[in-house]
This record gives sequence, structure tokens and C-alpha cells, in this order.
Amino acid sequence: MLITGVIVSGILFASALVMHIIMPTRLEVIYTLVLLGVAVLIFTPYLRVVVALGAFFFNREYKFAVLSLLVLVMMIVSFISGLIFHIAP
Amino acid sequence: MLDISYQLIFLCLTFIAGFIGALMGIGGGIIIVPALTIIFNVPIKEAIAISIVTVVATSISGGSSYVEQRITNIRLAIFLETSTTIGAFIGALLVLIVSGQYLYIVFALLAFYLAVTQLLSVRREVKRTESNDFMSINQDRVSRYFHLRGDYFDESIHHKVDYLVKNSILGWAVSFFAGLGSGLLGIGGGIFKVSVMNIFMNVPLKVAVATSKFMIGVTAATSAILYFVAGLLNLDYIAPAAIGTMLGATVGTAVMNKIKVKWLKVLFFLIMCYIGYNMLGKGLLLTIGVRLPFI
Repeated sequence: MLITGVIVSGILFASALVMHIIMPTRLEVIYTLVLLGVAVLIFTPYLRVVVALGAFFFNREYKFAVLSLLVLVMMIVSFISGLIFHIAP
Repeated sequence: MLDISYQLIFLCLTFIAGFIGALMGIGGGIIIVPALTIIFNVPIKEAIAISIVTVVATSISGGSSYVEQRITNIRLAIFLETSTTIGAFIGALLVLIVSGQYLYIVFALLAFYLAVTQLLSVRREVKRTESNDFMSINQDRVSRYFHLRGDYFDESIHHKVDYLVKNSILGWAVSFFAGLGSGLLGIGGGIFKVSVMNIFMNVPLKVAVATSKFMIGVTAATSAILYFVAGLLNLDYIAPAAIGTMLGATVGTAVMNKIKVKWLKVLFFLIMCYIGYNMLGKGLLLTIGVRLPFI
């Protein structure tokens, strides 16, 4: 599952490089590809923690589910801070 | 946009960073940041943002490979991640309030201390790995409560190594500082995580490397999202950097378990010395204006 995230963002980055070689003038396409790649890349660990949370919960390992939840909360807090920083730098 | 030849050079550099990062369980920012600032003249803040994204890339490609090889201890990772993410977040906030000049020196001293400890523990670690002697310790209450233990198959000596984790509270506390340092100084902090697990918590080196590799993705994503959403990311360098580190990490994870623990430790010592020197140099430059060579 995590591999999927790596492969998808890897393909996006690679196609950005190829685009740069074959038509270097289409900058907006290249930037969009790179932007999507970064987004996929950064959200993969988020997804991983969510999956871990679910897996621990279903296996009734509640103490680890709580720990995963704590990690996820910190990650979301950071995301929100980024938004705030973006609005009011 | 960068010239294509520069992109290819940069791809090769990040390949090396990804490879070493996979062997050591670190992000490789310590190699990418100087490469960007010195060779490509990128401003330090942009370099840090680019580096942190590549750390996410190496961690998910390298980290998942170690999970498949059954070296990573996922329970230990989740346990320590709670403190590293809190540390990383507070560290990133502190950047906005205080200056980190004295912290460079503190972290430099910590790096030198851990480098020497790594070198001094080579013989003991090799002996314990070969005789499978990571079990004969008393676990503390917290480690027992979270069932922090495990085993892995070491391909360089062809047998299984079992271990029990100890000193979880101390490890948790020191991990907080590893996270704090990563937020403040823009490094992945993997080098501190590996040392904490290996030296204080009775975790075999290869398990520490794999677990750290798994963890830094979460820590780095926590700070990367801040840079990304805040729009501080320079997209020109991301594509070659991400591809280079992903490929490097894939090759690195394939060979790590075949290398003798002794050589990994020596490599560790060298990299720690380099990091310590680098931070000491930056700290001295910022506090008293003394410039060491090669900084």
C-alpha cells in the first residue's frame, strides 16, 4: 500500500522530468505534475498512520491504537499550523 | 526551471544521499542540504524544505522495504513516534520565536558523544549479535507493558537475533529532543534516533536502522506539510531529488542486511563526526563569528 504511494509519486516526478526534456516550454504542466507528486508523497505517511490505527484497533491492541491516534493528532496539528502560517505569515 | 544537465547531476547526488541514508537509517538531509547550498547556491531555508521532502521519499521507499524484510519493530516505532512528532512540532514553532545558534553547539556535543559511544561499543555489539545475546537483560515496566521486543534474521551472519527493549522512558525522553532538533535545525534526526535505540534501549543496530527509517517519514511529513502548505517549497529541485533518493534508498535497503555490523558502526562513527563538526562550525560561526575550515 505504501509502495503504491512511492510508485505514484515516482511516476509523477519522472513524467515531469520527461516533459522537461521533450517540451521544455510547457512549464505549467511540469509544475502541476511536481506539485501532485509532492502532495502524494507527503500524504502517504499520513495514510500509513491511519492504516496502522485501524489495524491496531481491529486487532484489539488498544494501547497501540491510542499511540497511533496521538501521532496522527500531532501530524494534523502541524498541517493546520501550516494553513494558519499560509494565511497569516 | 533548472537546466536538464543540472537536474541529472543533482539526481546522482541525491542517489548517493538516499543510499547512505538507507544504510544508516537517516534521512540524508545532512548530505542534501550542503550539496544544494554549496554547489547549486540555493538559499538555506529553501534547501531545508527540499531536503525534508526527500526525507519523506527515502523513508517510505526504504522504510517499507525493511518492513517486508521483517527487520523493523513497528510497535517500538509507534511508541517513539509519539515523542518525536511532539518534539518536531514544538521545534518548528520555536524557529519562529528563538534563534537556534546555541542549540547547534549542544547538538554538536551530543553528536560527538554518540560518535565515540558508537566506536567504543563495536566489539560488544558484534559479540552480542553473533552469540544472540540481546535477551539477558531486565525489562522495565513500560517496555513490558508495550511488549517491546522482537527478532530479525541477520543475513551477514546467517542466524536469527532476538532482543528485549529496555529504558523505554529514557528513550522516549531523548527521542523528544531528537524530534526537537529535527524541527529546529531542519535535519531528519535519524542519526539520534538510531543511537538512542541502539545505545540506551538495547536494540540491535540493524533493527534500530530499519525502525528509524520507518519513523523519520512520519516526523519529516509533519514538518514537510508545514512548508508545503505554507508555500515555502521551491518546486524546481523536487523531481530529480525525489527520484534520486528513492532509487538510492531502494539499492541501500537491498544491501544493508548483508553488511557486517562492525562496518555499519564504523560508518556511523564517521558520519556522526562529520555531523558534529558541521554543527559545531555553524554554531561557532553564528555565536562568536569564528569560521572553521569547510563550513
